[in-house]
This record gives sequence, C-alpha cells and structure tokens, in this order.
Amino acid sequence: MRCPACKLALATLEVEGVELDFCVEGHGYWLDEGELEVLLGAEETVLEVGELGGGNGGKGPGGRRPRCPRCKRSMTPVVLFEGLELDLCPVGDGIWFDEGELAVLMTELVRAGRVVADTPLARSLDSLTRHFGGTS
Amino acid sequence: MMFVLPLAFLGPVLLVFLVVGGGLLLVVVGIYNGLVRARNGVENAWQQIDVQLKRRFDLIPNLMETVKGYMTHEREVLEGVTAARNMVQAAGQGTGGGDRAAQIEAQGALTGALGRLIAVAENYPDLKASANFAELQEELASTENKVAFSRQFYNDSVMSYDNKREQFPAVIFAGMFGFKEEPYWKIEEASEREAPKVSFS
Amino acid sequence: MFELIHRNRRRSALLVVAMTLLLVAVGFFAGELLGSGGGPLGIVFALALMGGLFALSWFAGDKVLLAASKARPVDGESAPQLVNVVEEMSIAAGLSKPPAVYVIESNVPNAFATGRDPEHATVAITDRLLALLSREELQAVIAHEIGHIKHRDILYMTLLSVMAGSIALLSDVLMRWFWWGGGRRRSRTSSDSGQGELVLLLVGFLVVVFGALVARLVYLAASRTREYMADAGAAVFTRNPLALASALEKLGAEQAGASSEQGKTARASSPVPPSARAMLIVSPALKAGAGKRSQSPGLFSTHPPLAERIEILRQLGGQPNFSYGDYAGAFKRVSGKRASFFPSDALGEGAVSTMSFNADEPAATELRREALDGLRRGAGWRLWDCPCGARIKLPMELDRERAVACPRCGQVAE
Repeated sequence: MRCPACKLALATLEVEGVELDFCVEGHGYWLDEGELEVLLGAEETVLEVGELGGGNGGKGPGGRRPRCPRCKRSMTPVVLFEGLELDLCPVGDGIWFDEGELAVLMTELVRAGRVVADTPLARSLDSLTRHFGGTS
Repeated sequence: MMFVLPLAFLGPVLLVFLVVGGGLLLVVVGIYNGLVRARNGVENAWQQIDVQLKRRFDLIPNLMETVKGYMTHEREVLEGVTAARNMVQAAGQGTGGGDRAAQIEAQGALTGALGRLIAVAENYPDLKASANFAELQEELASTENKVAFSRQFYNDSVMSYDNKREQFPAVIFAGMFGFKEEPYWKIEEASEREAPKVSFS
Repeated sequence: MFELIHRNRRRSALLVVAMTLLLVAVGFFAGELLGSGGGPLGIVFALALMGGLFALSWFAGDKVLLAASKARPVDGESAPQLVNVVEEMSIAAGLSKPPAVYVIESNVPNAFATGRDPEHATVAITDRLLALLSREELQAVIAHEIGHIKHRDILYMTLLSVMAGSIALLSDVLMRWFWWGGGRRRSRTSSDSGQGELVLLLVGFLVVVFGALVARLVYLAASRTREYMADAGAAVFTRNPLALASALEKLGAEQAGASSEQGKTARASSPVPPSARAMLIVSPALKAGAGKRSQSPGLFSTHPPLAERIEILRQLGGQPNFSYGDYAGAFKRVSGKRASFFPSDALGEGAVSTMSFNADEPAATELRREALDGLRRGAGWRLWDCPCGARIKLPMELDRERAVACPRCGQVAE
C-alpha cells in the first residue's frame, strides 16, 4: 500500500497489540475497515464505512481526491463534525487520516466520553498523536 | 479448345471465389458452433438449478418431521414453510414444466421461509443439541449453498453466452439464427448500503 | 470464465510444443554424443521414454499418488461436511460430476487434486487441515483444488513434469556416462574429424546440460502460474476471496511453526511425494524466517510466495463483484508484474454476484499477526522494536537509507 499523498510505501506500526499503517513522511495514518473500533476498544461501530457509491469518477468536490491505498478508487470526503473531514474509501476498505486528524478525533472522542483516556492503549494513542503532527 | 480457353480464364477467379467463400463459411460455422455451445451451457446450468431445487424440495418433509416435536410454539413458521413448498409445487417443481418467472418467485419464498425456520430453531436448545438436527442443519445449509452456487453458475453461463452473442461479428448472425437473450436469475439484493452512519455523542 | 479456459488451453499447447522440441533436441544431441549418427535413435528413445512415463501417469498416476500418501476415500456418511463442500464447489465451477474425495492422515496441513481429466478427478485433504479450517475456509481451499481440475492443470502439469523429468533423466545418464570415461573413445575419433563436428559436439553438450535446467525452470514457472489461476478460480467460484486468504494465513502460520520446530524434517513429512508438489494448495517446503533466501522468491519453487497470494486475495475482498480480470488487476497491483497468463480478452468478462457471505469471524489475531510478521520478514520487510514498546514494520520497497521515526515516541530507527 502506498501513501495517498506522497506515494511512498506505507509502513506498519504495532502498539498494544493493534496494527495501523502510517506514512514515514508523516502524511498520516491509514485504518482498514474495523480497525478504528479495535483501536478504541469499542464494542459497536464507531464509524461505519459502507458503500458510498459514486466514488469511482475521481472528480469529487475540490478537484482530484486522494485515492484509497487498497483499491485505488478515489476516496469520498465525509465531514464527521465541524473541523474534521475524513477521506473514506468508496467501497468501504477503510479511512485515511491526514496528519493531525487522528488527534482531533481522539480529543473529540475523549470529550464525548466514548473513550476512557486512562487505558494503556488510549495513552499510547495519545502520545502517538502528539508526536505525529498532533500540533497542526 | 473452345472449352479450355474460358475455363483457363475463369479458373483463377473461380478459385478466389471458392477460397474466400469457403473461408467465410468456415468462420460462420465456427461462430454458430460457439453460440450453440454457449447456449447449451446455459441450458445445462438451468437444469442444474432444477436438480438442486428438487433436492431441497425433497428434503423438507424430513426436516419438518425432525423439527415438529420441538417447535410447538412456532406454528406460523412451520406453516410458512409448508405453504411455500406447496407454492413451489403449484409452480411446476418436480413436474419439469411450469414457467420460469413463477418458479423463481416461489423458490424465493421457500428460501425465505427456510431461513426463518433455521433462525428460530436456534432458540431451541433441545433441538440444537439433538444429533439429528445437527446433521440436518449441515444438510440444509449445504442444500441452500448448492442452490445458490447453481444459480451463480447459471448466471456465469448466461453472461458468457451473452458476451459471445453481442460481440462482433457474432452479433450479425446471432439474430439471424435465433440466438435470443437469456434472462439472469436475479435475486433481491440485500438492501443497498446507505451513506456512512456516524454514531457517537 | 469459459473463454479464459479456452484461450489458456491454446497457450498451454504452445508451451507443450516448445518443451517437446527441447526434448527432441536433447534426445538428438544425446544420441550424437554417444555415437556419431545416433541422433535419430536418440530422438526415438527420448520420445519413447516420455511416452512411457506419460502413459504410466495417465493410467495410474492418481492411484499411485493416493496410495503413496495413504489416502482413504470418504463419502457423505463418513465426512458429510467435506463431501457437501466438494459438491457445492463442483456446482459453482460447473463440473459435470463432483470429484472423488479422500482424506489423508497427516499432521501437515495440505490438500491436493489429482486425476487426468474432470471426469476422473480426485481431491484429497489432510485431516490436520480439515481440523484447522472453518466451513468457509474449507470451501475456499476445495475451490482452489477444483480450480486446478476445471483448468485441467493436472494433465498439463503432469505432461510438463514428465517432459522435464525425461530431459533430466537423459542428461543425467549422459553426464554419468561421460564421467565414467565414455567420452574417451569419442575424443580420440574427434581429433581426426572436422571442426564442424567439434562445434556440434560443444553445442550438443550445452543443450544436454542446460536443457535439463531450462526444462525444470519452465515447469516451475508454469506451476506458479497455475497456482495464481487456481486462486483466481477459487475467488470466482466462492465469490469470497477473503476466505481463501484466511485459510492460506492459517496454513502459513501452521507450516512456519512446523518448520522452525523440526527444521528440514517438515519437508520429509510432507504428505505427498515431491513429484506431485505442484498440485498442493501450499508448497510443503515453505520457510518463513529465511530472510535472504526468499528475497528472490522461488525461481525454484512450485508455488508463488504465500504473502503475495494472500495480499492479492485481500485486495479483491473489498469488491462485491469480481471476475478473473479483477484478479489479474489485483495481481498486477501487488506484484508489479503484468498478469500475462490471463489472456486479455477474458478480462472483459465480469461476474454477477448472487450471494453475500458473512465475513469470516476474526481468527486468533495474535497468532495471525505472528504469522504475518514471519511472512513479512520472508518478503524482505525490516521489523524494528522501538524501546518504547511499539514495533515498526517497514516494507521492502521503502528505501533502506531513509530515517524513520517511531510515531509514538519520536525515536529514530537505526
């Protein structure tokens, strides 16, 4: 798999028994379908990555969209809440988090009480997002 | 002398006509045979579905016998299966005839009824524990799979046939020789997936 | 899918013709080297050898193989689920009748298909593999074997194997003969013969020596191609490529464990004789941790690298509908090579999905991850354990010189 931004091969990071793919240039993280839930230890679906349809054209709003590292279809932008727009694979392969976006989502989830901030995984995710462009 | 001269003149022309005509004929025969083969493939595949549906049809009395004693409170479900089976019979199953559309509909109803039966059977621990049922469940699961796979193969065959029929130059002859389009066996797709559902806060 | 099988037959016939020519050439030169003017006799001998070996495997190959692996036949009474699954996949592939089913008692997980044509086919599976797989995974493995049957791989690979074997045998005998002094008489006569004969002698020698190697490489390359095709077949027949991916993962994990424990004995305990390797679902000599060796993956292997096969299937997994053409696309994305063994006009054929499967329940992730890491190492990945406890896994394509920082603690890997 390659980074949608710089086309470098994505490396894999394993923390607390969870794997996620990241760009070594720091462009962001790729989470396969269902990995977000594993990452958060959530029982139910947090973000359903379903068939979005219409993602094949490659001309979404704002010109060319980045392409899904798995299936190479151009990804669909989805606004989760104000201040966070994620790129989702149109056929549900997964989600691309640009630099810093994972941190924004984490903060919001902790605020909403969906994630307990004090588990080992949450702590390591927290440090993960701090080092990894979390300031932007 | 009088005969040889025109023949010597006509010879090459005739030869060219014969070679070109013969070549064309061979190509057409090839296309025709290819189409016939593909159409027979579709016909075979259809019969294979029939065989599998017949198997399922025959399995039902056996299934009902096993389940009846345990599922006293599920009369509606049991009756649903029986009714669907009768519907299939009315549509011509087992007699080899009947029209395809009615059969497809009736078989769909039977698939649904059997699915419901298996789903409620999960709620009966006694039934699930009985060795008889475990066997029957594998048999039923496999029967459903066989029906589904024979349908899949039928659709694959239809597609292969249609592709052949619609390609140039076969498309010219397909109509001439009466190679008609064959219907796909469509089933209701599970409801289309919607836009992403965000469920937090 | 029928178009594909049709076209493929033509390509295969071409390769068989090429191999026959090689066999004839080796036979001719072997004859010439043994005695001037012995060429035609050599050809006759080579063809007779091949014919004999082929007749043997045509009439008795499957029986010999099944007997050698101590397989016992099962039916709907003794193994209902296995027989059901075989029947289901035969229907999906449109075989006119389901193959016979055998089970092998072995602690090595594997499965194979044999039999000269779809009407006389057999699939066999070890009881270890049977115990390892879920129903859907079993379906996928059987579909792979049915793919071999449907594509007529067994006949084809037997033919190639017999040819490569004949060439190897001829070359081997000749080499020994020379070694034990058979060439001395020859060299005396050659001193007073012309230069042309000397050249002929040299060319002949090269053909005989390298013919065996080339034949073997051709055979192995064809075998690997057929594995990809059978994987594609399994994906199309089951419409469920992820099931095969997960079955292959389990096989990989199991075999990686076995080979690290007992080293080379894993090879010895393989359920089938070496000659029949090409029909197995995975190569029995799979080595997981052998980093450098598998960097240039298997010019000498009957099977493609497992990690690559899994990755291709995973890529297919995201799509609701797919065909052999989609498999070829995924193959290209993963391997970077063009899937030249898929004839281009079969690629347009789509496929209609008629059913949806539930995704396989998440297997033991721990085990799967370890297996995957093993496979990654094998595929040239660099694994680095950061002092902070995170593990970074860098793919082979990534420049070795590039500094990579741990995303969690910021420490730079050396």
